[in-house]
Amino acid sequence: MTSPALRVHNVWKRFGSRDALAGVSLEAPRGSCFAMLGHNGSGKTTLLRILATLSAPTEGEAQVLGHAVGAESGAIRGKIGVVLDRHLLPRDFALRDALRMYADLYGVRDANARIEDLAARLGLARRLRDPVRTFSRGMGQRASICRALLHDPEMLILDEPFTGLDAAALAITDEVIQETVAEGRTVVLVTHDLERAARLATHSVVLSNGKKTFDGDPVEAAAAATAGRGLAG
Amino acid sequence: MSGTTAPPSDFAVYRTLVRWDWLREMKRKSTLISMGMMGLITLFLFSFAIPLTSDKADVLVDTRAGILWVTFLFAATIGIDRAFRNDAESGLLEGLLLAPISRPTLYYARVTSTLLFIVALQVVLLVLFLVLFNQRLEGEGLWGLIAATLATDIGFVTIGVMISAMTWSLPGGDVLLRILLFPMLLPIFNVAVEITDRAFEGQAPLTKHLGMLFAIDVLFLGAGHLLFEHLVKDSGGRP
Ligand SMILES: Nc1ncnc2c1ncn2[C@@H]1O[C@H](COP(=O)(O)OP(=O)(O)OP(=O)(O)O)[C@@H](O)[C@H]1O
Ligand SMILES: [Mg+2]
Repeated sequence: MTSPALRVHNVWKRFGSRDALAGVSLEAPRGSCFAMLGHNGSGKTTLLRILATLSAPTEGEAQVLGHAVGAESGAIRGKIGVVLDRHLLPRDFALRDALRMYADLYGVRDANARIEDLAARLGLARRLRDPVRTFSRGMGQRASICRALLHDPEMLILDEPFTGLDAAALAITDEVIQETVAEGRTVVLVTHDLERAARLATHSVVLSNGKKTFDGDPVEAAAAATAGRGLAG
Repeated sequence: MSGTTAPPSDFAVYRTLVRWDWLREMKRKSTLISMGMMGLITLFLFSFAIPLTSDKADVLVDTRAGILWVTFLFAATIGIDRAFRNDAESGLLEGLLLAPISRPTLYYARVTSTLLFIVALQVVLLVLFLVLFNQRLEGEGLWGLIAATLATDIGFVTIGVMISAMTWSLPGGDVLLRILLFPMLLPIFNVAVEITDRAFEGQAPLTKHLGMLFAIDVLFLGAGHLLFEHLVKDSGGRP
């Protein structure tokens, strides 16, 4: 395992005339918790979606777990678990069936047991029979974390996973992140919770207006992230 | 990696997708119901517009095949438009795009499930049509119509699902879908009407007609296969 978990080289993403990312380069070693911080509209989600193979950079290259985004996106997809702002589950199914659908698509062995385990862990065991559409925001977020963990991914890509979670769910999510890192896997974390980022991350970058303005120690990154408060122009 | 997963074959993924699409539709039946309503309304409107009295029966004889296909087209287009729109709006499409599913597999699965919905709908609409317009189909004609309908549907759905992937995120995408789709369908639509005309006379379809449908199906399928991956490559943000 010589390749780093992430390698991003001079990535640009243009939406019309706006540069959401303007030449970002970064690297994250395997087994790290890599936090991306920055104000609203600084380009964090845009970069995350590129890493998650959902979106293509306008220019530049990105590698995830040694595979090139684009040419080898297929290989990346089976190895990453992604939490975005929406839970991405079929709303009309009971949670158990919604997760089962994804388990089938990822080829999860012993899927029912795995779903029970994860639901119990995220405190959703008693809601497995309820349609996902009836879930509250925090429950949807918990369900989304279950979905991301289903196939035991090598890398977790989390976009503001703490939003809407109560204290218990926050503690569980912290634990999931710490365990993942302890097992030598990688977590890419976007969050506005600077205190949490400083505590969990082993590595941090700060984005501002689509550019990287800081790269290094998580505690210093949190300070750097508070410095620039303006919105992207 | 631990042994938690055993990557399924493309075919297994295809089956899984079709199965869950079907189960999902069976939960709410929203697409089937919308398509069915549209088909019903169209049939009723035609039944008022076309005189059914015996002295003008030849008008109906001249137009029945066209009526049937306009009804099929209007109703089925709703299903085509929804092939991705609903999933995209609920976020499910993103979840599917994140999963290790090859893009052609996703495309073929969506073509198959849309086709299933449309065929289910056509069976109902055809029976209604026969009753409402007092028509009869039998023997060679019936089999000819079934073969022609399936061949037409395949062309319709393969190109339709591709255009649906192209238009769901655009403002006014539902209208744009029709504007793009209907002209492309003219050649197969013409052939389908001709075959149906013969079917009502109790005659089997001509080989040249079936051959033409088949050729167009292959063409549209190839276009869908090649273009679909490109269409879903960059979902930059939310619509
Ligand atoms: N699909 C899109 N079309 C046009 N502009 C977009 C699109 N997606 C993002 N942008 C723009 O790109 C910039 C970066 O957005 P992004 O969502 O990456 O920010 P972010 O850092 O995740 O912000 P937040 O903290 O609010 O989640 C913003 O200026 C945004 O308006
Ligand atoms: Mg964001």
